[in-house]
Amino acid sequence: MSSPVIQLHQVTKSYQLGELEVPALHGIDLNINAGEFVAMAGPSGSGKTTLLNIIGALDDASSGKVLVNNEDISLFSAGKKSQLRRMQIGYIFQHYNLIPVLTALENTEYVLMLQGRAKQERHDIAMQLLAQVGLQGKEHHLPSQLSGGQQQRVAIARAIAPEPKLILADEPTANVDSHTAEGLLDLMEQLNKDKGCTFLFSTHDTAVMRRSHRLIWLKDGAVDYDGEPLGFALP
Amino acid sequence: MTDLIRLAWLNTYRQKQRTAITAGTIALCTVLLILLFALSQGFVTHSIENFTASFTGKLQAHSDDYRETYDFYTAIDAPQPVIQAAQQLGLTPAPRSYGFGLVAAGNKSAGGMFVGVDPQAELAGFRLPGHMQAGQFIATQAQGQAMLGSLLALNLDVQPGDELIALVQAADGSMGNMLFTISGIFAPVGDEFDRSTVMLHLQDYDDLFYAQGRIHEISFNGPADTDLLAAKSALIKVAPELEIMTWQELYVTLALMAEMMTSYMLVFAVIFGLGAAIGVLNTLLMASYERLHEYGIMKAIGTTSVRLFAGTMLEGLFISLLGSVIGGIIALPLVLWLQDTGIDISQWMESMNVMGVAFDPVWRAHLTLEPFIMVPSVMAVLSLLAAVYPALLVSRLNPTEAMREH
Repeated sequence: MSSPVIQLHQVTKSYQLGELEVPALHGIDLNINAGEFVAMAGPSGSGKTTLLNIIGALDDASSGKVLVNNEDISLFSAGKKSQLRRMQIGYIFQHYNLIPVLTALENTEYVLMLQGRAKQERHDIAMQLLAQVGLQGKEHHLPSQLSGGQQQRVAIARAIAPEPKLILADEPTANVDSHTAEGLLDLMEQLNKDKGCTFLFSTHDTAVMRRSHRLIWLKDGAVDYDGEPLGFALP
Repeated sequence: MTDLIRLAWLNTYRQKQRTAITAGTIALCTVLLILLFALSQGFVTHSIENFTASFTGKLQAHSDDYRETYDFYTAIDAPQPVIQAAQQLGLTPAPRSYGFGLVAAGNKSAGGMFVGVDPQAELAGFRLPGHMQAGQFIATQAQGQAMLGSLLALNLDVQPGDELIALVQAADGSMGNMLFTISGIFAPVGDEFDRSTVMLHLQDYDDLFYAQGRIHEISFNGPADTDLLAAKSALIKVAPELEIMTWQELYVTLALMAEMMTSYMLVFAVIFGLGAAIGVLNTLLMASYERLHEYGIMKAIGTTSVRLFAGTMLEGLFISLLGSVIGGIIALPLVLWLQDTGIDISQWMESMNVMGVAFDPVWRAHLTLEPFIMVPSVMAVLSLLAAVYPALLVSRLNPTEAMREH
């Protein structure tokens, strides 16, 4: 049996809007094991992005425990959280979020550079990954010179470059057409199989949910369904 | 570190518009500050040069007690050794004698200060012989010619070519009188000079006053960069019995005024520099705000606050160096042009005389290396300091907020 990569115990999160406290997550309990390919879905405002941000050490939970690779990240300092994001977690954002002044190759190399890898090593890895995501010949293009699908492929290459144990993706197919979305999912699934990366991605797309191996449905900040995607009847 | 520098340079190089606006602001401030310095230095330097090179000289020698009494009989006993020593130092010495008396032309008369000069020495080392309103300077050979100050000429209602009668008490107690021909009239120099000066050939002066070669003053002029204190020491060694003074010692108020002017300009430059720094801070802040989303991404994927701070500061350093160097390069031809052509300020100023000193109506810059090193360095440091706040702001960003809100 594979070990858990993510363990959430009674995780809550509320936002302060003036004097009003708005709850976003209500006591979430969740375990995600290494090598899983998990989709997280739910209506807008159900807490998907908030949960991804908390797991990814981009945001803090209001209460509860968040364990990533068996370490309670709520106890981490800012520097250690930064290290966690740099060394163990890969991110794929909805809006690609590539660094606009860097080329596809430099964006892919960026995290490797932060990790202190040698220039030639990170260049070789980035070139290989860009070829793997189908961007051979586009290595020296700036994000503004690439289509949405191509930018998302760069974002995937950047996310997997440091070979993280966990990849978090916030609606990775939201801004691409269905054909490109299929291609991106193929790619993510392939990486999941080949490299054993754990994928946790949020989505609104039913086709994407069906491609996952496990579906977590969030509703009003709580887990409403957790199981096989085929066994879930969309509301 | 190499990666950090490379990335900061990439950001600077590829964000051409942002870099151009920020570096352009720094360059503009650098240019204006260099021009301000060069013009203020030019004003002080040229005013001093104008003052000293006209007639006063950079150094003067008198008999020890002369300046206390202006006594006709207190003269320099042996002028030749100090004259020769000055010539060896590259200075141009001009021996002069002074005396007082009356001048008359037609039915008008006035008191006059007679100045006996060696026309050759004056022409060789001083600008006053060229500062003419009418006529020409007295001939190098004594021919009974006199030059008058402009107001004295006006009061006596005389023109070049007119006759002038001089009446003085001579050195032997007798009345000395001579008839002179007015060779020229000086352009205005200063009120006292204009109102009373009657300049004669030393030989004619000697005849009028029966001075028997008495020299009251030797004025020394030389290049603007002459080391006056060293020259003074060298002359004192040759003639320890003489009182040798620099122009600053002779005209303390004027020297103080020049110093004050430099200080005022410095204060003005500091205020202007601070204004420029605030402008640069504003530009850098705007540039950072524009990139908050980008910084948010960087932080989200693991860039540390320290690295982000260092990167932003390095970008600030590149931009400030770029702006300062470009500013220096642009300023150079402008300073050269202002040094050569200058700005004619005569139309804005009623009088070009301050404390009896005639100022050049054309305000010229003075090119020195100092502002080209100092101003870009100060601007680079100010810009770098101005980059600290945006860099701190960026390093403390919350990545999710930065990506969501910008």
